[in-house]
Amino acid sequence: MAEQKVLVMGGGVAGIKAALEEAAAGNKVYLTEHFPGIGGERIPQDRIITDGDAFAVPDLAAIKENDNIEVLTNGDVQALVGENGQYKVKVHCRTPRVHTEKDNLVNAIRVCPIHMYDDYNEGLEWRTAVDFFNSAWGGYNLYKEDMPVCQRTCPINLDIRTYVGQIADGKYAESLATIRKKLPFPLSIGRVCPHPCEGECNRGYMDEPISICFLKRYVADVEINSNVEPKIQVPDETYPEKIAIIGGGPSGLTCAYHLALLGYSNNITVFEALPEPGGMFRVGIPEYRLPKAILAKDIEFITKHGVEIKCGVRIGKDITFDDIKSDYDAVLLAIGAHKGMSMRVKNEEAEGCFEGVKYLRDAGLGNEIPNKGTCIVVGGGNVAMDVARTSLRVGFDQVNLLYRRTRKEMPASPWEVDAAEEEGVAFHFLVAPQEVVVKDGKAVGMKCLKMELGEPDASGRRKPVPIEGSEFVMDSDTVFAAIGQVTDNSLVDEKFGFKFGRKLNFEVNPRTFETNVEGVFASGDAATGANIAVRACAGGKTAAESIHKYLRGMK
Amino acid sequence: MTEDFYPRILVFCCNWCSYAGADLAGVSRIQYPATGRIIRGMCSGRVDPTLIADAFIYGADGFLILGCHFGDCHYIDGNYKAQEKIDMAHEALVYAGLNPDRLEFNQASAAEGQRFADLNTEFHERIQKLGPLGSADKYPLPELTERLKIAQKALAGPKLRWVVGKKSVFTNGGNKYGEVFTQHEINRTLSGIIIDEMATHSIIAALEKKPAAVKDLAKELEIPPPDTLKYVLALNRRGFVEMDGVEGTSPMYKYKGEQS
Amino acid sequence: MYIYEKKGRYIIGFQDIPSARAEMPEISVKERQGNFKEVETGFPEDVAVAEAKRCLSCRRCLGCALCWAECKPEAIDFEMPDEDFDLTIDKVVLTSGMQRKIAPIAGNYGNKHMNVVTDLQVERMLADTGPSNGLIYRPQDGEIPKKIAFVQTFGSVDDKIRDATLIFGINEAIIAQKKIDGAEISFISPDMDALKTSAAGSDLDKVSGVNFVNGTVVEAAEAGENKDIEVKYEANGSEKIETFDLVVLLTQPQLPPSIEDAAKMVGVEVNYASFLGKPGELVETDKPGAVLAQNV
Ligand SMILES: Cc1cc2nc3c(=O)[nH]c(=O)nc-3n(C[C@H](O)[C@H](O)[C@H](O)COP(=O)(O)OP(=O)(O)OC[C@H]3O[C@@H](n4cnc5c(N)ncnc54)[C@H](O)[C@@H]3O)c2cc1C
Ligand code: SF4
Ligand code: SF4
Ligand code: FES
Repeated sequence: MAEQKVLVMGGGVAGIKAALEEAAAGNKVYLTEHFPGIGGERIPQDRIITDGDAFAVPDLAAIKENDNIEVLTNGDVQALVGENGQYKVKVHCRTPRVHTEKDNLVNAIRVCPIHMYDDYNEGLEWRTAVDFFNSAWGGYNLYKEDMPVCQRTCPINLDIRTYVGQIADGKYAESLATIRKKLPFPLSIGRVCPHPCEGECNRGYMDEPISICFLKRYVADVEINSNVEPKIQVPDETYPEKIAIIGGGPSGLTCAYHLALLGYSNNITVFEALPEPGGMFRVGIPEYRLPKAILAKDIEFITKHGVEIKCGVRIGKDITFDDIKSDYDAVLLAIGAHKGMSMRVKNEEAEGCFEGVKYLRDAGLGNEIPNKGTCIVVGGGNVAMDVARTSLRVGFDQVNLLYRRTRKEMPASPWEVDAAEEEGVAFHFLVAPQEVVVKDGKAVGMKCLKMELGEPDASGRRKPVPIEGSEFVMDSDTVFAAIGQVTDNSLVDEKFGFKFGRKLNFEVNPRTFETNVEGVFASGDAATGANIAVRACAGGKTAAESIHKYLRGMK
Repeated sequence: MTEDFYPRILVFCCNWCSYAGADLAGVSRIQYPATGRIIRGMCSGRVDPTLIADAFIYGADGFLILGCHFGDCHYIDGNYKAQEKIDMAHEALVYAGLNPDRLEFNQASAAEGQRFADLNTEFHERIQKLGPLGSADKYPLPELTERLKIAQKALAGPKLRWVVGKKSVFTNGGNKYGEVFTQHEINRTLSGIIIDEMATHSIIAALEKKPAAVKDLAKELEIPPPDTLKYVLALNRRGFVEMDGVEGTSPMYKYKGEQS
Repeated sequence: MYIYEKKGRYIIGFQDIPSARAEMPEISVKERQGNFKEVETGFPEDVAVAEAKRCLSCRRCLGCALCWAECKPEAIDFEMPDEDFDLTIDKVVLTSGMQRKIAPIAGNYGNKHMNVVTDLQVERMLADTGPSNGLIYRPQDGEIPKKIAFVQTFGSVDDKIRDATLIFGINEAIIAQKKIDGAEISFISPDMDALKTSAAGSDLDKVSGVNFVNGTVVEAAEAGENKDIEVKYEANGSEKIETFDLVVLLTQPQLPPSIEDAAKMVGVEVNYASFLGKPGELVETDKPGAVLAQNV
């Protein structure tokens, strides 16, 4: 057989063995490994060991000697396309920043002042920031992270280390400017973000994580409390192309902001169906968590960058999508996910049953809403908490929240659950709604079934199973369903051939947020399905960069 | 403190401002305590951190460093550099157990004879209140000196010297990758290196005397045992320390010396 | 993913930073009734600054160039670029990697106990290229443990993975037993009986000096000045409490995302079990040119 080219992924014992075998068969081998070195003795897991074979030791010397094996350490396979033995592969190797052939680097590791986690030894010892990977292979490398873990976890990659450090230095304006390089919503996000970054913060391994989110709110509050006008800086020269953004929520507005910074100021129009801009910030998240006046400050900051927002214009109704597409050079769909999902129980269309999101929207816009007697909220997410806490405030005497599993499994943020409980929401766990009880066409209660947790499945999660014969009826004047939202994508005609996902969201290229229709982009909840606000902002930022590249003909 | 305690105070004056200020105070016959022994140098920027440690190792009760006012340094930024180095030395010595009030950096110009006298008087009174070295500090005398010697080793090492020299570079221009540090970060980094270096040098000093087990080292040096273990393993990895048999359940470690 | 990054993470106990996280001030529940006033009122300045000072400013290489200054010229090259390779390949060989998930035990959430380690960490300790010349030691104080418990904390998994994981741990127990004079080693797993009756466990009776227990671990608490670990477990219908010098958690193997992605790109379905069964061999998949290198 002619010489073949073989890619081996993973530089452990098995990978090294495979590489040597393939090379022995006369093939050219590329061995990729994510870490800076390969090797590592392994204890077997297929048989109980006897004397003399305690460890499987990889033959590193043979690898080093073999000219037919190319070892790509620090390497990640980024793309692998093709089939049936014909693959095109892209391997990206991060630079080691050292030339081991010029010095043995003993002095380097002796002087480097930084101690860090040693991956090779599972954190049992420290290595310095310039060090070998393991003593058998070497694999010297200068460990430079692209960003600290908090920043990497933040969907929009805020430079947390810097903005928090600037607060410690007392430089609040600089800190806010650092945030606004990426995120134009510091006041709002600083209040409502579920802060995934804090979950990863290294300080959390010592005691508790840094309060990253509230510090962002703090510097943003300093600005409005001191009545300083934020500086607006957009490029003097602007490009001529016109861009339409459909949806004035976090995602659409962040995209508009970044387009303005990129040089499209005064050529950006945001179309918003509702009378007020802000999306779920305005009509989802209730006032007691994010006051409308505060949100207005963030939006004002964005519009000052030369962004026009046309409220009360629903695309698909007031203007057709066709018109938008032909009048503008690029279009972003940032229409969110505003349609409540069905509970799939009998009679849920009866009078007195509402979608939670629609109820919050009406409350947010000051429309008339039900507010008397007892209500039931179905669901365990953050939206359910908002519905329940809002219901208490508007005047319901009793708010009962039903959830199929236990408190531990609730997707809502624990602090939201605690607050709801403190305020008086009655939680009913392991209860599944069966049917809305209707009298004279009106909801009067909910027939429910009690559940218990069954055996854990493969993922370790215990699924609730109904307890037979445990039906009971809970009386109620109003029923709110808060079990998830999907996108209302009816504004686009079938003829465009958009592809949709499970949540009726637009399918996009995850790196560019481009849809399958040329010149049309989608971001935020409309692309990801209902998610968190800062991820919607991150999508908007990326979409802005892609739109810029698209319009400038850069690929 | 008793009135008859006569503190030994060192006063460093730079040639161009504070020494001239001292001169003026003398010429003008301004009264101030004579406890301070003046050392003249060219610039406060020349005060090396290890010399500061030396002052206390050799028994000074206080060390007052006087330079020009900021912006007036004859060598332009000598006193800014001095501030950075003295801050670091201060942190390391205090970490070793010195009372923070025993070291001060201040400024007096050639025209400020009165200010020079006032600064000396205040410093004298403060040290008089503290009493002799070892009395208002974390440890009494022979022990404190031992610890100060460790701090001196840390200050003499390349890590602290190098990084403190980068302080203003990092916060203004940026590091090798062009990343700008906040003041907070560079201070954290320096504190971290001080803690590391103090631990490492005290472990080396103990192991130079005799091989020891991690748990005994930890007890003797008052470093948490898991950290002691990691420092010892790090020294092992870098070839300064090696394992020297096992006694009972304790692996013993010994110092190998500087050779690789 | 790497939960143990925590315990090994180098975090300096700075002395001057407040250790408690700042709490967000809120208006009382009473003040919230019947209105939509903002609940959280924001940090005052001093609290915000103190909170910001808690930040550790995480960074690996400082970019200080001390190493560069101490080495021979050009040995350290800060400007060295990343490299990209475009390859054309006839065959791709996937391996399972060594990524493991840790199921925590009650009493040790956040893996704070120093003397609870993972099986992977013990493998490193026992290996020659490990940190300690092949000695097994307690991360708390570097002492050699005499009484060791290996415990399984994860729930039921695929039979093949279960056998591989247990045998991995049992082999470690055997090596530790040989290396430590007078070691007392217990091995507690709810799947012990199942392993004994399976083919993989046929050699179990040849193992001496390890006390196998078919049981479930309930809790692990630190005990005493030496921070030994008190393990509460259920076996034979009764609850026992025993103190160990070191506790080793068996972890559940997983495929790293890079391998999962690659498999998806090639179009083969794999899980960790696909890499078990024919130790050391190369196994073809239903896609020509895609091969799985089995674990040894
Ligand atoms: C009740 C609730 C509470 C939440 N709480 C939080 C929280 O605490 N923290 C958090 O991070 N996230 C929270 N979220 C999620 C967060 O609000 C969303 O992820 C985020 O708002 C999504 O932003 P978006 O811009 O993609 O969409 P949206 O904010 O939904 O904005 C889309 C906008 O497009 C408009 N639009 C739709 N169709 C058209 C059309 N045809 N023509 C013109 N305009 C149109 C809509 O009116 C809307 O204003 C919450 C969501 C809800 C529902
Ligand atoms: S301490 Fe937390 S917030 Fe600060 S840099 Fe580290 S991970 Fe980020
Ligand atoms: S590796 Fe980085 S931190 Fe370490 S000495 Fe070199 S430049 Fe400085
Ligand atoms: S000359 Fe006076 S401080 Fe530099």
